[in-house]
Parts: sequence; C-alpha cells; structure tokens
Amino acid sequence: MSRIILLAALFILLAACQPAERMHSHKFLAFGTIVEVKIYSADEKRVRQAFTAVEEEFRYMDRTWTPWKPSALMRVNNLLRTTEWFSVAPSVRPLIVKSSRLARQSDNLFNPAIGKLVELWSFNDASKLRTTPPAREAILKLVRRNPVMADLELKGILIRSRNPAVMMDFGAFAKGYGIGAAIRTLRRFGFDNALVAAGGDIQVIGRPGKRDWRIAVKHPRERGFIASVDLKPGESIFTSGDYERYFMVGKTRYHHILDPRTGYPARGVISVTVIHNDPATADAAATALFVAGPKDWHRIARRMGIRYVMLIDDRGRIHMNPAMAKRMRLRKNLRATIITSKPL
Amino acid sequence: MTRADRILLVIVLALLPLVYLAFWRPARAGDTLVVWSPVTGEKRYDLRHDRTLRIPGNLGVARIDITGGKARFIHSPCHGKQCIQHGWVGNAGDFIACLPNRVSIEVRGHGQRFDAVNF
Repeated sequence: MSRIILLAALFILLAACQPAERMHSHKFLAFGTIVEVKIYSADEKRVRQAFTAVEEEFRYMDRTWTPWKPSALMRVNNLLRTTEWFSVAPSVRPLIVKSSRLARQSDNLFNPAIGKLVELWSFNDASKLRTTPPAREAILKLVRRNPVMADLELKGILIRSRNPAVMMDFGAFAKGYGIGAAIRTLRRFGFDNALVAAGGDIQVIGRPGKRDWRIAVKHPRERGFIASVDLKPGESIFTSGDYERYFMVGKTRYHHILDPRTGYPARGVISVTVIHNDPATADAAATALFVAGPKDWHRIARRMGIRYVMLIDDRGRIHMNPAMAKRMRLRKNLRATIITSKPL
Repeated sequence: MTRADRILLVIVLALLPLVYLAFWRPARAGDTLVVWSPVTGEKRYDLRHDRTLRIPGNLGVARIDITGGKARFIHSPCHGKQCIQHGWVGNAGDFIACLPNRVSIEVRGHGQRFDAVNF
C-alpha cells in the first residue's frame, strides 16, 4: 500500500517538473479585421515574443499594401499610370509576381488590377457605404479599359504598365499572403502547432495536442454554422461571401466581389469555401470561383490546382467536389440540396 | 486480486466520471463574453452580470444585451440585422459576427467546441 502511495507521489512530482503544453491566444486588428493567433506550446515566454513579432508583421503588411492611403503600394499605383519604367518597392514585388500568376490561372476572374472599379463602387471604405450603384456609363468605361495583371512588365526591380488603367488592390489576396507570412514567422520561432485567423480566413500548422484543428464554417444566410471540418497540418481554409460588404437596393444585393468582365457584383453565388495548403492561393481562388459561378467554378478550380471546394449558389444549393463532400460535416438539420461535382 | 489491485480499481472507477466530464461532456454554459470591435479592440465581460453594452463598430454603435448568463445583439446599424436575428448565445464556443459592422461576440468558458470559425 505504501509503495502505491509513494509511486503516485513520485508521478505527481515528475509531472509537475514538465510545464504542460497549452493553448495561447492573441488577438489584434489588421487589414480592417480581427486577427487571431493561437499557439499550442509550453514555452510561454517564447510565445509572447512570437505574438509581438506576428502582430508587428501584420501591421507592416497592412500599412504597406493598402492602395487607399499613402503606402508603398500607392506609390507603385501612382507611377504605373505614367506607363514609364520605375523601381518597384521590394515589399510589393512578391505580391505582384504571385498574384499575376494566380490571375493568369484564373482567366483573370481573380483580378487585382481593378482597383479603380473597387474605388468607383466605394467598397474600399466601409464608412462610405453607397445607397445606389455608380452610373452605368462610368462602370462600363472602366471595364472597356480592361486592366489586367498581364499589362505589367517586370524586369528585375523595374516595372511598368502598358495600360494606365491598372490600379492594384490586393483586397482579395493580401490577407491570404499575410497569413502565410505569419505562419512562416511562427515556424522561425520554432512553433510547429499553431493557427492564424484573419477575419475568418485561417491557416493551421501541426496539431493542438493529439487531435486535429476543428473549424466551424459559418452559414452565409442562417444563424450558426453550416458545417465543420478538421484541418490537416499545413492547410488553410478561406471563404468569400456576398455578406461581408454590401448594400441593398430593394431586393437587389450589391456586394463587394466584382466581376471584372461586367464591372458589377458577381451573380449566382452566395459563398465559396476553399481548402488549400497555400493561403494566398486559397484567398485568390475563393474570389475567382465566386466570380466563375455555379457553371464554371469546376474548370477554374482545376486550372488553379484547387482540390477542395464548397460553393453555395443563390438558390441555397451546395456544390462540392467529392473530396470536399467527404470531409465537410454538414449541420445535421440542414435543409439544402447537395450537388456533388466531378472529382477535381 | 491483491489488496493493491482492488485499491487501484476503486481509484480508476472513482475517476471515470471526472474523465467523462473533462472530455465528453456536451457544450457547457460559458462564463465570459468576449466582444471584438475594430474601434475598441477586445473587451471581456462577466456573463453573470446583467447589463447592456454599447459597442462602436465600422458602421455605428451596436447594442448587446447580457441577461441571465446569455448575450444577444439588440441593435445594430448593419443592413441585414442577422446578428439580431441570431438571438441568444450562452454556450462556450458560441459566437455571432456582425460582418458589415465588424463587431463580434464570443462566449468563452470550458468545453470549447471549435478552434476557429471560418466565414
């Protein structure tokens, strides 16, 4: 009997020597939204340092990549209008390179060159919500000038635009790129089990203990969640929806996801959720597939190398590829038509 | 079975309900409301103290009512008013995000169901 008590006491003492791994969480504001960083670790001091580093990094990216305030990107946009060669800021160049590739893959349905159109619709400023759409002629004038990322020419650190209508807005891409950068910072700090979420878009690495990261996907129209999904280490999940920034005219919803082909909000879709290992790609793809719509999303997803898609159309029907349907746990009492596509 | 085995068995059986409570219990009532706004940042409120919060967001001031350990939006300057239609939240992990106004509330406590919400 005394041996059991002795063993138990020894076990408790030994357990006390090892600081337990637990979840640490930190939230702050960047990119006009809430950013949350979660780290599963026992090293509290190092966790605090990493939180500071990630927050500083997000603030830097936010200041640098806004096209609407004085920033490195604003300078680049202003000089692109001249159509002459100039040196591009090193903080902006990687975004241009990566987003140009994604724009090409998406047939320019993801098009960060339409900043002027975004500005015309006032979707760049939450405090200036419109009550009516802009004049049709003003919209069509910008569409006809057809600004695309392929109008840019890059030679080392030099850049020029062949089309003065190009104005880059990385609103559908910077958050994803930023989450990826934050995750790389956490890895440099030696953390292998962490989550970074910015305004509902998420990337995870490792696992919180012995289970997977559990993510709930919010229903785009109803209260609560539409589904839940476990993310594998390294995966990110991004959703683009028509509910984030919009105004109503009668029963018509004018939302912020613009179709570069028409200059008007993309029609036919309520939300698109994408799972992919690279958060910048997931971010761009969620927008591109939203614009592609219920008929063309599958082709664009293939072109962009996306393996998991859930699209909810404007009739509430849920379109998924078989691999996504397999892992999405839809809410039990959900009344919706599920359309499973061909494999991606 | 020796005397030591019997003692061990009793201890293990006694611990079982605790293990159940720790790992398999259903969603449990939360104790703290975490409110997020781009204007005020994160603020925490005790769910046991009834009160009405006035939280400024991107579009204007939202009003959140805390009563009897639960919380709900009662006013919001957004168009859709989905945040108000959502009704009460009270279990740990429950959350409402008013996306247009960027004000979100989350119930914290033991028994959190998800690590994050994608929207």
